[in-house]
Amino acid sequence: MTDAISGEDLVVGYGRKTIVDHQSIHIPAGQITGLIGPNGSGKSTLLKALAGINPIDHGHITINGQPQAQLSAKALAKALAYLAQAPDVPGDLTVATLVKLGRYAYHRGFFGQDPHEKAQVRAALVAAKVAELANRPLASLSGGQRQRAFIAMTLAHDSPIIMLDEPTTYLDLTHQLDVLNLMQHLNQVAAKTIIVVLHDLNQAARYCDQLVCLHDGQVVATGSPKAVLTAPLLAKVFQVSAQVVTPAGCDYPQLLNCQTLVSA
Amino acid sequence: MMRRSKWALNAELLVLVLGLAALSLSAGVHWYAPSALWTSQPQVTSIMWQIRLPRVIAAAAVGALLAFAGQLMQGLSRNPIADPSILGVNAGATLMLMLGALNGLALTIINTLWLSLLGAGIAFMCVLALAMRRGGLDVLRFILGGTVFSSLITCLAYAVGLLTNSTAQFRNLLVGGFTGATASQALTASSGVIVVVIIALFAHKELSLMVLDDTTARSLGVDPSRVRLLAALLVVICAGIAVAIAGNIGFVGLGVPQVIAYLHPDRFEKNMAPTMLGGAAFMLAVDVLAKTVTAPNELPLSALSAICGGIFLFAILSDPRRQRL
Repeated sequence: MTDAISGEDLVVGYGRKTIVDHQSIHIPAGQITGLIGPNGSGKSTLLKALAGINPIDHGHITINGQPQAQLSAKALAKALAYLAQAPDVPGDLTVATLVKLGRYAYHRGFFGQDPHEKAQVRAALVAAKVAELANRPLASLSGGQRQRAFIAMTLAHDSPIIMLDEPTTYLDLTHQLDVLNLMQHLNQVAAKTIIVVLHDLNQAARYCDQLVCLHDGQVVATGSPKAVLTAPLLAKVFQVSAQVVTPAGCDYPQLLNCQTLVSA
Repeated sequence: MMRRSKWALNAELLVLVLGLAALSLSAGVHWYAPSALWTSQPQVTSIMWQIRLPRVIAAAAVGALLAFAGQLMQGLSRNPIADPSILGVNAGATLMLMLGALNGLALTIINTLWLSLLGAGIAFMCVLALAMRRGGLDVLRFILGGTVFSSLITCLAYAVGLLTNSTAQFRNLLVGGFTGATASQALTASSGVIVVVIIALFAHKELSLMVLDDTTARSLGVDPSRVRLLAALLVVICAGIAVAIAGNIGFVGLGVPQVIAYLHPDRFEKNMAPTMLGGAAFMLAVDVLAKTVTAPNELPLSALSAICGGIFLFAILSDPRRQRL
């Protein structure tokens, strides 16, 4: 299996504080990879480094076989689309306008025309199921609709890789499932490689092909949900005891009766 | 909210600017029709060509520059309450002009221009430096820091004026207005507009990404700090030239971009032309009032502009539909 992204011996931090310390990660192409781990374990930091949003202090990142450091900002935006956790919402902007901004990397020259803009924007709006909201200002949308609008913006990059940092945060269950189903659809139909940070371990197990678990800036487990989500790992990383069961007819585990192991 | 084609708005505003320009050409101590530009009376033609036409052009150009500077600062801070007079850019240019003049520089058009640009540049860099934090520009620090900085610089300018007994000499700078605008000033202001429009055309895609936060903008393939630098440069050019020509005029930059964004609440880049046209129209209208209400005396233009702008600011803040600030 080829890697869409690989990071070798990565050191990432803010200022003098090191968050991710000499870690390696491999993201297989065409799969959904979930980043899990407790708050502050370095998931978002690692994702931002892989996306080229934050610089790395040490190590080497390869995107589709090319060194990330050699890609221009626009080339990087064409290779991968990164959606931040809770981006600022410019309320006056309409959905269509937001999605158009996703085409920035394709504009060239003085008047910067992008011949595929109309078609790609349209396709992104349809794929993210926000076509009927195209002319609505973002401020008038519900949380779930807004998240889909931002996902449409990332689709407008027309990139083979999509990174989503906690795309389900602040959404109710229906809208969480909406976003996750959309993600799965994009993976299966459009063959997108997806890297997603998720907090709900049952959703991570259900939707991801591969899980990477982080703990204190270290990658502590990588593999299928079944291989990663084990009782010892949950106890060690999350300080949680749970029954790990495999529902009938499913090939992924689910957690039951989660109990915290640390006394309050 | 109304949603119309941008060309309709641009066309309407252009007609408004031309109409107000014609009105402003006619208005004064004596009223002449605009056709008096080509009359056979040499006295009248010289008034029209040497006094009124430069004033009309200067007012329209300065209005456009200030409104665009306001739009850029509002985009830069993603906040509606920002403009070069509130956040100290104009005050910086004013103070630098006074210091230059008191140090014996003759206020020729060239000296005025570079002093003003330098002052605006230093002031805006200070305000931006105060507002920058890791991960982007802190809106609260930008607005509060800029407001305090502006008051400080304005007080310094008045103090310098009082201590050196030169307030009268700098009255035009401190009060602002287009009385006695010359042909070379009109030329400078309109060249400024052309330069700014060319830069804005080159950079319109980048500027339109200012509505997004830094992380999102970066993910789209643009370096947000470079966009900020570009926007800051444009603000300094706009405000510097405006102060060099007309002194410190407030509130154009605040109100006009807001009205345009209300009429046309969509995209930053599409609103650039209407904002500049709207600024030109507003400045021409205020200048006509300044010339005519108490003729033959003139009202201080910046006070009129501030009265209109102040009322407008209250209206923005009291709009219950407004979500942020």
